[in-house]
Amino acid sequence: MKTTFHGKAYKFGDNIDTDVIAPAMTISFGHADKAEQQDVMIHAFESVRPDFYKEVQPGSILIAGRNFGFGSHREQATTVIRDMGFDILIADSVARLYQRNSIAIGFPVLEVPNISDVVSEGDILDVDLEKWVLTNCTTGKTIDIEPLSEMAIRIISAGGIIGYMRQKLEGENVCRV
Amino acid sequence: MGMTIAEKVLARNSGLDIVHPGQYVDAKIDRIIADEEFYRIHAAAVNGGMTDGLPRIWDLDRVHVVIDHFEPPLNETQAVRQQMIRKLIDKYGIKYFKDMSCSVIHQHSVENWALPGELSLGSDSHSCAWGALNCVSSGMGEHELAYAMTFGELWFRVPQTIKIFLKGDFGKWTDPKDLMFYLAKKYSVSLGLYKSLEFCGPGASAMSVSQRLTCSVHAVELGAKFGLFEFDDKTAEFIECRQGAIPEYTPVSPDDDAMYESEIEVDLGTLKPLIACPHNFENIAGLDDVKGTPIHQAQVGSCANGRLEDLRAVWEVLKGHHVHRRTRFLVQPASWNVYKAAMHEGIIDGLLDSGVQVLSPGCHLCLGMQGRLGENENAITSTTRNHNGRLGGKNCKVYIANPKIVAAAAIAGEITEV
Repeated sequence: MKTTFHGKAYKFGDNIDTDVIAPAMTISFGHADKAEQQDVMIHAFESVRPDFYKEVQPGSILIAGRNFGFGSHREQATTVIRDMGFDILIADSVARLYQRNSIAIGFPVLEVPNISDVVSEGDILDVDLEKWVLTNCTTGKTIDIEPLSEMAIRIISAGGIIGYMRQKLEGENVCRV
Repeated sequence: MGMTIAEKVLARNSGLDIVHPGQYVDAKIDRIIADEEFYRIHAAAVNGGMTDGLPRIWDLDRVHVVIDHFEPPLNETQAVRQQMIRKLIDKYGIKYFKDMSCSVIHQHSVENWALPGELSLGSDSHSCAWGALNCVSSGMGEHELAYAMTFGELWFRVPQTIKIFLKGDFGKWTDPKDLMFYLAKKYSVSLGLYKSLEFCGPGASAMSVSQRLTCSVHAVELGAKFGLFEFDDKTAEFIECRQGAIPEYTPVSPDDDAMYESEIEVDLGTLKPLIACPHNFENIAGLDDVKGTPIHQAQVGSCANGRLEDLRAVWEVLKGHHVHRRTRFLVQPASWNVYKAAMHEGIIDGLLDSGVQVLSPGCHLCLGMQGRLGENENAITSTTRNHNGRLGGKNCKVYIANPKIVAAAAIAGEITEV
């Protein structure tokens, strides 16, 4: 699992829902392929921040308030964050399904209460997932992060739950031999 | 120390005597019900390097697939997706597949498959709906369901449980929607974040299964993982209506000394009709705050409020009136059983004659795939969500309310006090 992140913060408020992140109409005609991913990305966040995908630089950090990603189970709302160039998401709190879906695709999502009070749009952040510390390089502030669960680390380290599943299946085959 | 419903089921399915909130467990899954996302479950495996898709399905007696979101398909791409699904049904040998004339997945599930006391997963976020039947159920993404369908198990974090003790009866103009609005207003939509909600007390016992379903569906709107009711005679009677053999099931009740994270008591008799304003279930207002808002489209339907009791409620208000000329009123029954029952009661005729357009059952309306709004339009709906952009384009405003309030607005052409 990648453990160090350094990048620019893009910040959203509370209750950013999955219809904002990946509008329903963009996900109703895709086949889980590259064309669909591209289509979802173009429309991502458009009701609150049109053309957002054009601004985001690779290696960026997404910061949000309370209950990020609530609403639909749709996985496109999690994969699109990664496709746009974000390496990690940190929010005051994250909706249950969004959190699970992120772990399942191998994308780190952290809940850090009050993160939105200490990070502003455009701040440069350092995140260390070995020491579990976040440093706001712009303000000099440092805050501790609650470590991810062992289960989440195991799955993210396998590249997601499909990678984890392949490891488990390989284990089964070894046992049979 | 005793356990809550969620804790007891997670403990039993993990082979443990006791579990505690916050504990991580690998639990056996009793049932998985997937909609069109079945294709994406297969695709998740393929895109993850398993070129043939899932290596196996752990138990074909416990996996169900429906086509409900794109039924009938609205364009060629949706039609092609259906073709792909039908091929996969054959490839995997799925025994329980509902193709044509399906209903909303959750309504079909409670009318046919979901069982009390089971730990079940669905490929749609409102799968917590089945909790109304005492089924410990929740929505999952396709990657996780690929894993669960292969191994018949999945990891869970044991949630804390909030006890919601209900007493009293709903008034003439209120229903469970207003209870959920009340909770969202008082405690925010983060109330249930990663938690289980247990509805209990005389107010919960007095509710019909249909009303309980509204509460359980909206558990996810309050952030919750599960929205559970205890099993009783009403649940048993509801399940007895199924056709064919009903598998054995074991309902689960909380222990008397179960530990709850918190307890909330609500007197249903004190609730007033409320309304969720754009663009969030938490943005709750009283009718007097928004009265006079012009309504271009009114909608009743979905897993939340598309059942016979909801259609009866609409008809009760609409009888003797006509839909306002400014307003389009769309009603989408949640299932064909609901549709047929409403037809037998003469409700469908009445609605049609009053200017309502009745649609075939499905999820289209709730998702904004049918009846999409134009620019700057306002809608009032009894469906599940009013997120920005979900039902329409730029500057659309969507209000959520119970079916009677929706019907009253459709007659007046604007949100109106009752």
